[in-house]
Amino acid sequence: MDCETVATASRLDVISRVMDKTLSYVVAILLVAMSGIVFGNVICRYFLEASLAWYEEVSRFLLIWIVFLGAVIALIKGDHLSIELLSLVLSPRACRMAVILSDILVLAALAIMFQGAWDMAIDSLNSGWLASSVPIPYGWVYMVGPVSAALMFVQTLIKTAGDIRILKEALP
Amino acid sequence: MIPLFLSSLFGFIVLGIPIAFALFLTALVLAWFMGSWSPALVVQTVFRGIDNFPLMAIPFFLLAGEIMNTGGIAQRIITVAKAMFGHVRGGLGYVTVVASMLISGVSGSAVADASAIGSLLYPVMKKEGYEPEKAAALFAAATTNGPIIPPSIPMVIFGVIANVSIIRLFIGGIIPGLILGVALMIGWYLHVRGKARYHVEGKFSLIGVLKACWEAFWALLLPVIILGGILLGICTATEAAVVSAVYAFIVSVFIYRELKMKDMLGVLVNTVRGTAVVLLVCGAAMAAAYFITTAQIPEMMANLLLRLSGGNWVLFMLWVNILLLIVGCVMDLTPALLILGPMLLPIATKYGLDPVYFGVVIIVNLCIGLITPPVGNILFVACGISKISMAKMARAIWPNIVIGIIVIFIVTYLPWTVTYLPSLLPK
Repeated sequence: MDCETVATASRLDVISRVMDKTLSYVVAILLVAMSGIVFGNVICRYFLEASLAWYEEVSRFLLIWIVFLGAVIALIKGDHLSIELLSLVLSPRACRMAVILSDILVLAALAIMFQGAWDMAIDSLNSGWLASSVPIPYGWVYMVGPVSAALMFVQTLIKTAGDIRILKEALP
Repeated sequence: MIPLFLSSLFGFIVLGIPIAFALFLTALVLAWFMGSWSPALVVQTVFRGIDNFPLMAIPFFLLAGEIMNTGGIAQRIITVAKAMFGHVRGGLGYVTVVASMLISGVSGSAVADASAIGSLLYPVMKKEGYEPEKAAALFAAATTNGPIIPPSIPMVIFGVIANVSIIRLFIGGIIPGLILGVALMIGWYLHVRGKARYHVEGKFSLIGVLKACWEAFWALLLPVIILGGILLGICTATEAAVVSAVYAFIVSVFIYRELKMKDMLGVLVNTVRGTAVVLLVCGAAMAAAYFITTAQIPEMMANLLLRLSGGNWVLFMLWVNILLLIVGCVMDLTPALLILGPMLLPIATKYGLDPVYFGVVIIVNLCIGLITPPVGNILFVACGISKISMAKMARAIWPNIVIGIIVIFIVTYLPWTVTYLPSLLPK
């Protein structure tokens, strides 16, 4: 048994599956909208010789939402790029402990990200800062930050629980 | 500050923390030690790193690639390559290289290309009696061309972080990509020459080629649209990307009718996952870069490299290439580019090197890093498709790595291979 062993199914996985399914539909719609807006602008620019004034800002906002919500899906699927060197040099038990340590550091990073993103979103909301071409408050654009950090925190907690379970059960 | 930066970054990465989070944590550590602790400031730099219009080319090129692979376009491009090269000894090997080059002209991601080409061509090569390890090593090496031949996601990223024209980078990659393709075909020729297991089959027929081209007409038009639009300066990289995604969608759904609506959710979600992974690293790297620059780490690194190589750009580029090859063995292209690019580029400009040349060289180098063990994303895909162990794969792929390194040095020390085509563009 090595470091890459995935924890066995648990009741908590339901939460991951619900997050994954729901977010999949949301990001698919956002991506279709972003493609439609940018493509629509190409059509307008070349055939009607007019540009949509709001297309750049709105599509950028959609990209921000896509990236931060997509990051949650990617975390659930284990897509995020990382280096697995320790499994080559450490014993399975030591390696699993390193995995748990890295889980805890990721939890810390996400907690700090949540705080920073929340402050940023609330500050922008309170200042009433609006996008320049459409009446969208920046606070709502930035609100995806705390949402994403919170969902990734939940997912990492589930993973940490699984890693601790493996350490306890399979590697005594 | 340098020891603190390096030890925290590499400490976090070696521990196995996803690189985006490792960069974010490093930014926090640096902020803490510089006495400017503010989570909101760090998060804001992450957002600013992502909130960048040219980066939008990335999801659109990924989407075009996903649709191409699901909707039958990739398969038709391979049929054309087969009609051209299928009849010579070890012909499927050349088909692999040529098809990779054509498909690179649509997609910007090497990993997507590797899974498309590998899953379509590897089983056929194995059935024809090719050595499985050699066949897998070949398609792995051939698909490193994905981010070298335009369009290219790493080039979009480098263009944004270095403030260089993305179009010029794209065009600068054309000749290096051709050189790599030809070099791999020469390597394959030396391997199959005189070996009976690679039997010769069928005859070349012009009519066969024309027929395959006609059947693949709409598919072949795709790289033509993208490259043509970019070369003629009609559209920006982002516009070319969205047009190619919409075009690929229309061809796959209405002409080939191979992309079903029920597959579309998977295609969209895969695109979002790929986008999120790349751009999250991008944003976190921007945050780390902000504090690295504030701590004047690039200057210190620059002084170190300047001392090592004297005033000599030849020596400097040698050090850069060696450094990148080592980093490429353990790190994926995007994070390596995002961490090292902003540090090395100012030094390169001190030597008077053209940023387009420098960007293309480091991207070619890091693309070869995608097939260097122990960590190489294409290598993982190749092992996954062929079910060959990493140890066997590492033994089979080394000749292709040597070819790659030769190409890196050709491109490095013959700078016109990169700069000639962009120099033809209007200023």
